[in-house]
Amino acid sequence: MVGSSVDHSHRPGRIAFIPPRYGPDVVGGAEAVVAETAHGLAARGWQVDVLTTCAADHYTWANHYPAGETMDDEITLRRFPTVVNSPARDRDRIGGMILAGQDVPIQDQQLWMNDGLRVPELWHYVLDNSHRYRAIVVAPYMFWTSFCCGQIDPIKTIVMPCLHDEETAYLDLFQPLINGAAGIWFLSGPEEALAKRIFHLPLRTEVVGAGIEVPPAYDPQQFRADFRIDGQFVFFAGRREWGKGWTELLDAFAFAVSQGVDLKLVTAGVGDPTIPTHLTDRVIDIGFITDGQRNDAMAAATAYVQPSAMESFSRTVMEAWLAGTPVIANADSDVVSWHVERSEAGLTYRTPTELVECLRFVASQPEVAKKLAVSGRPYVLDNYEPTTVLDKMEASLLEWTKPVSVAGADSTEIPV
Amino acid sequence: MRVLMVTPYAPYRDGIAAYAVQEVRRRRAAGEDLEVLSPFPSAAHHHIRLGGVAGMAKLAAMAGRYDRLVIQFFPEMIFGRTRTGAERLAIWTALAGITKLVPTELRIHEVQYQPMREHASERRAAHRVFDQAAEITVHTAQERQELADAAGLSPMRIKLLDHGTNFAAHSRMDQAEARSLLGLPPDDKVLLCIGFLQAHKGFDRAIQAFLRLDPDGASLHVVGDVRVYHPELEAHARTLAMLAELSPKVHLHRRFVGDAEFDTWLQAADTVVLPYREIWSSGVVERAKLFETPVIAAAVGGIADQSSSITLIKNDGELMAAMARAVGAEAALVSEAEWTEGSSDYMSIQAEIRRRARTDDRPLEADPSPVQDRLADLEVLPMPHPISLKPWINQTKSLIGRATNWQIHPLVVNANESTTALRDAITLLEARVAALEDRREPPQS
Repeated sequence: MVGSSVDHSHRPGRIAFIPPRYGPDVVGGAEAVVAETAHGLAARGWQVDVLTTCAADHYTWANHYPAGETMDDEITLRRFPTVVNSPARDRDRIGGMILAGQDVPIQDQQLWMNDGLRVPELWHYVLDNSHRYRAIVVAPYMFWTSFCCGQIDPIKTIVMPCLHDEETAYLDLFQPLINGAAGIWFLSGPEEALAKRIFHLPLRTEVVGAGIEVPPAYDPQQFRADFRIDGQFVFFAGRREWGKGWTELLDAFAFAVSQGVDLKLVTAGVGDPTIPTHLTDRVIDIGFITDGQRNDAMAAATAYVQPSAMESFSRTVMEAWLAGTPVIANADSDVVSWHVERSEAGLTYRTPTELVECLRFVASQPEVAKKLAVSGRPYVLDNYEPTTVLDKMEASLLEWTKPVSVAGADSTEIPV
Repeated sequence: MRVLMVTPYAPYRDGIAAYAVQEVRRRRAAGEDLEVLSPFPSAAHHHIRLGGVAGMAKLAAMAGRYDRLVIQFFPEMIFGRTRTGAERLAIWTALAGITKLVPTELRIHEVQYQPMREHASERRAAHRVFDQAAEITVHTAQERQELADAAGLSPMRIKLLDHGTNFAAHSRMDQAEARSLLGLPPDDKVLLCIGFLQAHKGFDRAIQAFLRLDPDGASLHVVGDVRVYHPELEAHARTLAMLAELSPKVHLHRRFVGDAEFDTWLQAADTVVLPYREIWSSGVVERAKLFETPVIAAAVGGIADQSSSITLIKNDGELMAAMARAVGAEAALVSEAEWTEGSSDYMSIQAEIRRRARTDDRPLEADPSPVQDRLADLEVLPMPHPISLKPWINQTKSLIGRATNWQIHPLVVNANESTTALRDAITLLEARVAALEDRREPPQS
């Protein structure tokens, strides 16, 4: 049991975490938060199950991992096969209407939700077994797994919405999931403020944040040697896709290069980075890397760039600050702006031109930029050290949920 | 034993889907190897687009893989996309094949009696299906008798199944907590109309009665949204919104309500008001029973069979009196002044009695005013569908329709919007006039 004052005897009952994907090949902030939390609570003595799909890729939802039960350290991991057997014509059509901000009738919202990934075996597992769990934690809000499984037993469901200010968040469809939950875990203050604007929140909500493991050491030189990178570079790690601001970053970086800014852009993660041929010597894709390599890259970088406006927490920003590296972030993300304003350990940009100027600044004034980052590490340690976050989660679990009786946990009877 | 349940299903928000989920949960917990098939992609294991002949044929082909079928039977799912009597007969025939092949439980939620009464062929076909079914269930004695009469069955073949058999609470809290959660005043008498906003639910009747009572320290909350987008449903929702605007004590919470919030409202309310114009049986009544929340409901369909503790009302007058009792506003029903000498003719006295009582003996389906009567002739126009027994005529008409719909559709939408806007305006005006008349000082003698 790690760093908790809660006696083990006060943690009866199982906790189920339901992320859409789970595993070492999975890249995603919400999925990472769920994995950290599940492992953290298991290490403190909670019985933890992760109920998830067999998928690793959130584009195809193809079944990648075998279905069935395995152990992941102390966690019982149960995987269920995905079903993607509808033509997705409705999902594409209605999805277009949603993104365009059109008024979409509720029956179309329901079609949109169901005309894509579905996991009937998972849903029925939760239906059959929810009485055995003290709490069911679903995240993030917009996936079928959360939307559907989160409404089976709302009285014991905690939603970790990982909410962004995006069109889908405003759909009536999600009101019952959020409004009817036993409680909500938010990752940041701005996320909670956004949710208050959109939903009629339950009484029980808590800004818990996300726990960030502190690496014992960094080896930036090893990273440079391993990937043959010299000179100054800015770093971006994550999903290289339009929705995460990758294309805007690439455009602005190309413009900065054309303006004589002497930097490289190193990027890691999933998705196709589609680097233009004239930038192949300046943009370096190192693909999928280990957590250790990512930490070393953070330490080696002149700055970390977070171009996504759709962030509910932004773990990578925290990892950069832990490594003593300043952050350049998209100001359209209320959450990252909130972190930057509170920590004063980075810069935000509102336009591509401002991004170019940020890049020019870190390229020409790297030492000043490094000093800017000094307050970042204490900010992370004070707010997002795993023990602090897990303490908040445990406190709310104990307050919001009731232990299931031993008979209930072992029984197949549904308590009425 | 492998069991297949055919039903609308979660995560769709639908009364029958919610009912089915609870039955699935109970049966699987009891050890049944039960899978679900729904007419749309959902949490069900399988889906087939039902409502037409092809869908039913696919179901028939699949049914043989199971030892038992359970069909949550209602017309929209079974016949929703048919246009001809021949198609309906084909579906009944496929169903007969299914019920012969596999023991089938038919959970009857609704049946269209009219085709059975008007066409002997449909009656024979339906009778065959019902006669072969392993089990037929309905929720109320009245439904049992009506179904038996329409399909030519012995009532003994039809089993009564308590509507609430599989129901369990989605949230448990006391009234104060529920009110705090919903932002309701802790000390008000709270009346609640909850469910999909549809004219047959009669929530407009509850609002009109409440407006006339205008009780102190009480509020009426209408909670829900339209089930699907349709001009008629939208028009009704707008009418409810306009009626609600007539009093700060009436609140329309037009939103999509989840199971937990639904139950929270039932726990927050002092009384649930369900002045249905028509209904088979009510899931709301069953959920209210879970929390012992008193119910005022119209004595229509099988409601009376659902609970002996419901306050049943037969007309607007009884509705208003029951609501008055529920909020402690009986005084509002009592004449405010002594009778004095005045008009002595029958019409005047009768009018004064009704005015003082603030009620009348109109049945729930009130006579329309002359203006409403004329408006009733302006039906909401559907887009024309080809209906013919000769397939080539249907195909030709369909082709013509496809070629011209881009021009006709906007005109139909515009005409329907104009009609509903006119209806809204008249309904609102009449409600305002009624309210003004009720509040008018008695004539000085």
